[in-house]
Amino acid sequence: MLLRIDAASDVPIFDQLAAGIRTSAISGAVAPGERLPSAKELARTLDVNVHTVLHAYQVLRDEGIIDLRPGRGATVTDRASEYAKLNAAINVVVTEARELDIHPAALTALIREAYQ
Amino acid sequence: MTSGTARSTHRRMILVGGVLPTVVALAAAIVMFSWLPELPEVIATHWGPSGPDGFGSPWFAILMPVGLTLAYAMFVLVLSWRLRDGVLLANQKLVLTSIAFISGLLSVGITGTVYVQRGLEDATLAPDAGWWMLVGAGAGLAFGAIAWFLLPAAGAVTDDGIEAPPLQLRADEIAVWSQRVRGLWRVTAGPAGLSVTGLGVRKFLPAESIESVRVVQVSPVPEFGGWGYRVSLDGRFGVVLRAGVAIEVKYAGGKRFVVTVDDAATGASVLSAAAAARRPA
Repeated sequence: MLLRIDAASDVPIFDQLAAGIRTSAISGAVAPGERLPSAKELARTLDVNVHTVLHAYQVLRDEGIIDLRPGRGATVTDRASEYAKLNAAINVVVTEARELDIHPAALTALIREAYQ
Repeated sequence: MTSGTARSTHRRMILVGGVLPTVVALAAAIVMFSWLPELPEVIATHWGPSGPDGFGSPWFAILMPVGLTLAYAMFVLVLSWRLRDGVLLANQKLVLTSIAFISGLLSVGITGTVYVQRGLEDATLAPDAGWWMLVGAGAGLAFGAIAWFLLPAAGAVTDDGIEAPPLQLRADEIAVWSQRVRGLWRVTAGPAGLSVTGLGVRKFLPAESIESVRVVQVSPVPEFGGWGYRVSLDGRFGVVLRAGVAIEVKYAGGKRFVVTVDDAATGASVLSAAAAARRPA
């Protein structure tokens, strides 16, 4: 999995990390049952505080996307694979939007509106 | 580079790794066979602290060196068959010479333990023959050395992979990439460097020390003599878990670390960007 983090963004780093891992789990870049890097290892390579990574892992655990167990690390659950249908639907929406030349920001706004 | 070189190298591999070791083991079998009338019906095949404690038919001793040498030769030849650019790599040669070692060890060692039992009525009275296995080990080493010189000279890998282009990042953007390998290992690359963990190994290369990052193709047996945490005779070391694509990092004044991992190109580009960002201007 490849995660990109914008250090200058208003969105906190833990949030961006959680979002990146969530996306990887939904897209299948990390498989159900796969163990994520330990918080210590990820923090070390990212050069961020270990609590930042732990915070991201806690968010994902609360969503049910990962299992967090002391000594066993973070394991991806099969919850994210249930999103496969959603994922396929998103692909359809994006393809359609591209054909109609709709900007990603406009598409996001449409989706947000549909939620209201 | 021509297929002709590859063919002659393969012929030499079969001769030195297969035919010669088998001939030596066959010669041992013929010698032991000629002693058959002088041997007890059951001979000692294993020695414990208080004398012989394992017994078997002389035929077992006669056939074992040939059988094991043949089986081992086939196993090693299959594993080291693939050639890079038609040349043998140093590790590949070393693995092939182990066939000669096994042949020498068994042929001389087993023949020795049979030799001391000629004329015996009862194999339980067999004198200690442990030192014959030492003589066998010496013969194996000598035979292995001969095999090394009979094999073509060791070549080097000429294809040194592709330099990884740094991942394009916006200002203030950082990237981290993580991939598991063979279930138990994990490779993580980020702004601070490269981390490889698994089975008790924890290797971390700080981005500051990284000079260049390449994506290479690795053949475990020919280049590293096998799988696991490995050192190659060409000076590289690393975690080699399967054949195929790998990240190769040159760091700290020319040391070269290799890790086989899927999607190595992405990992290498993340690492390359990290190294460029930390490099003193």
